[in-house]
Amino acid sequence: MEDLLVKTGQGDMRALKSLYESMYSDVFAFTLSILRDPVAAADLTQDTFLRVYEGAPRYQSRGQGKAWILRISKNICLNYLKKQKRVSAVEPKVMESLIGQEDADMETPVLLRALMQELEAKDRALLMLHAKGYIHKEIATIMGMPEGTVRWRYSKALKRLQKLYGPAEPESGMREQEDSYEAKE
Amino acid sequence: MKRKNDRDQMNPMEEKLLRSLDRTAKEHEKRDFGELYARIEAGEAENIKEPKWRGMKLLLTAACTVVLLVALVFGAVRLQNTKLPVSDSTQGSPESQTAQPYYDVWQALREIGEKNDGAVYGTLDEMAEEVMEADTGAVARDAAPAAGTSEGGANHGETNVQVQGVDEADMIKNDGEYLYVLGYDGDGGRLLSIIHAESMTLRCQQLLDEEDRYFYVSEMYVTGDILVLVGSATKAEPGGEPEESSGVTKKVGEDTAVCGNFYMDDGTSFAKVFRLTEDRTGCELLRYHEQSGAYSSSRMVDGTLYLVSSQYFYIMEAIAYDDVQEYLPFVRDAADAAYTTLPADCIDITKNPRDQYTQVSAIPLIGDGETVTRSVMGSSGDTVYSSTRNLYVMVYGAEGLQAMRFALEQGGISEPVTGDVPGDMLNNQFSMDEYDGYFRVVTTKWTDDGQVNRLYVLDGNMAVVGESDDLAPGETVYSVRFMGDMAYVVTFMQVDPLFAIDLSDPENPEIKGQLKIPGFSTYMHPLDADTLIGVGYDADEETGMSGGLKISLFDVSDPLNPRETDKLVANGGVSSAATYDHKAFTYIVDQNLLIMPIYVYSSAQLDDKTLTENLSGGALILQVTKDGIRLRGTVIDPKAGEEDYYSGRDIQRTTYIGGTLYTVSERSVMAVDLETLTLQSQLDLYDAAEPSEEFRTEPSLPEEKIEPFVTYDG
Repeated sequence: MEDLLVKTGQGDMRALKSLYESMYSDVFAFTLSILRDPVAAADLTQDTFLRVYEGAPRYQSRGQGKAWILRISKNICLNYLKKQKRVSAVEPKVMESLIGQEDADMETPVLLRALMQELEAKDRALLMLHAKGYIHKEIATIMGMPEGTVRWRYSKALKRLQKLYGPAEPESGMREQEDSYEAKE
Repeated sequence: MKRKNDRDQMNPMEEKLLRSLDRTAKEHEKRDFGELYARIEAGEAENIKEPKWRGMKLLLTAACTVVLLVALVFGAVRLQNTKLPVSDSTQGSPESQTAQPYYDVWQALREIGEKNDGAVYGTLDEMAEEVMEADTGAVARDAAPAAGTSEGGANHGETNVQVQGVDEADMIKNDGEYLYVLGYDGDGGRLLSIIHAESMTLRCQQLLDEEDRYFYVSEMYVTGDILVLVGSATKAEPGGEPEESSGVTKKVGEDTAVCGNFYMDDGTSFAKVFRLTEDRTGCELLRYHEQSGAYSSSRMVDGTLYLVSSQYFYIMEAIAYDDVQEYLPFVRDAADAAYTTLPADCIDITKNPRDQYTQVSAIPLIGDGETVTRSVMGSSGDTVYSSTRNLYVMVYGAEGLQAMRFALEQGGISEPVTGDVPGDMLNNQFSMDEYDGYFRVVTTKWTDDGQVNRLYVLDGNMAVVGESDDLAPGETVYSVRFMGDMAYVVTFMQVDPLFAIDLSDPENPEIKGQLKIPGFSTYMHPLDADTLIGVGYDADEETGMSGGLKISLFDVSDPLNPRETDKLVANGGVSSAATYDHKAFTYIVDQNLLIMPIYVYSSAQLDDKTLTENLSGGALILQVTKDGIRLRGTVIDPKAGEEDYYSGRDIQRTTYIGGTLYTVSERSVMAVDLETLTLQSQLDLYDAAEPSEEFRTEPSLPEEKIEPFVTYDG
């Protein structure tokens, strides 16, 4: 990772391609969790790598390459959201496009819906980073919050979901939850 | 060496959720490097707006001009009503300050907002420091308070603190009659248990979580009949209505739900002060304090609690004066009261401020004294050191470390004195010390040639008056211990140099001697003026690969020639919480016993004892005197290993009363005879398989008046 960033900084396109391939999934998942809009997430993911390419010459190798890239991503998302706020409210459809993707393969659609619906962006991002295998310390760096905060926010976010939707249990439980979801709408 | 990462403790539901989350993301992925390449080829990268940020000297110099211009424009448009003289720019005149008490804070906020506006690399360029901050913070928290050494042969264990007379919070407290344990119930709720030690019976148990907001008790203090709980929460709306921190009440896609609290950290920290009833079955809330910013650390000196929190916010454009309120630190003194913002004269601003605050409060535990809160805008940090006279917070400023000194005055605190300290990071709270009016600190600076480690001496004005030579260039500092005129520093790459530094002339710290031995100590504990106990890991001299747990005995009577006089090395995979948390280190002075929790991740040989793999719930008992280290034995939770994924039976702390050793895990307390090392009794704090309802009460401690906990008759 460090090597790739250094080489990217020297203008090595192959290094950038490797970076892109190894980090794309993480960056996309992260932006998606914040924005909940796959189209915007894909755009901003590409913007992230553009900025990575641009900023790489100034990257100081400190073993935090992944966090460095995701921090850029977070800032791009914040700027995007800020602009959105100025222009218009975020279109309410974005989330539907995700929920609409539910299918039989999806193990826990209810939970996923809950996650997207009930949690705020920060917590969604935390969970997604966890899903991608980042540890608390790295998440703290990426999100710019103290590690202790990451720890308890994470556990509380999970607890909240657990409480709302119960342990991922049999069909009946799920249907019930979906009903209550409809009711809320 | 890390034996568990954060993800190992996932439950099945978490795993499922996270997996499906990840899968959804994957399904929507559209990776096409060609497109990115085309954009770069088209010169798009060059066209990206250059970041307006540190390192660009020209822009920095221009910053004032920008602010001035913005102030002018803004002033003309927006501030006519407030009658603020337009010519009044960044400095702020007395006149403007009368009209706008937060004028200085506002200017600082605007400057930060200006810099961050549209800047992708805005906070990014600071990341190097924040990375260190995260690291140090973690170490500081981990390394913070726990059980330990009692000086002068007291008959029971107390938290192994850094400075005599300065108490540190911990997950267990021991007052000689009762054990106070902060653990978890089977569902991850924070559970306080008060145990009558002699009879090993519960006096009460209480779930501490609050239903309507994040509320996490990190640590506690016990002094006399006063119990203090400290930790982090999220802001609750004034009037007792909890702030809806999720999107439940918001429409799908609504802006706030999308942005959530990305811009403003809603974290707070709290101290709840209770008076315990004599039989320890109930309590009365004496005082409540909550302040903005997540809990960093705390100390208790002379009946006053000092609470330190770090507050982060993102300000992404120049704001109007009227919006300043949103970005101010706040406090409240009752759980149902409205938050009030700190008055302007309690907020100091560092030079080159960033979007962070550090809050420090002095909270009197007894009597009706006022709580005093001070805030420093511009930087934050988690590493705290306190003597009985001054509390120091090491923060990460725009250009490296800054030390803030708050004088502790009769239950209050003074305005901070701040000074720059060369370096980018420090190891933990033990890297700092105060002696004879001087503040001493060992820092690490990252340079192009690698790490530079130095010891600095600062006077009361926080000005550097002396510094040592570079200690072991390129190596990492693993532990520091100050003992009066001497400092001992352990660095490591392949072998462990222990440096002895003479500080008798504060302006000329002098490296007297160094000792190179295999391995490294991550914690050093003074046995007496001439002897140090080191706890750490063994290492291969050739490769530097770290090996098993190592306990060393250092003779430092001759600073020119420090010697390792004895050692005990676990030949295999053994680790101990005492290596990263001084509160897990217990030394019983009058019995010369060193006790620490151990975890065996691959079977190991320790002296003549074989430790089997996957042993959790173990503690090591050693006889340690000036003359040597001898293995006395081990104590093992007989129920450990019954559960497969996370037992909660790892011993976290040990303490003692008289001849009885107590080991404490999240799950269980054991009483062990110190003479024979036989288990006398065991008390399970919860049953994870089937959480017992009778252990439950209302989800928070009584806010009003005395209300009994659930009690247990002996």
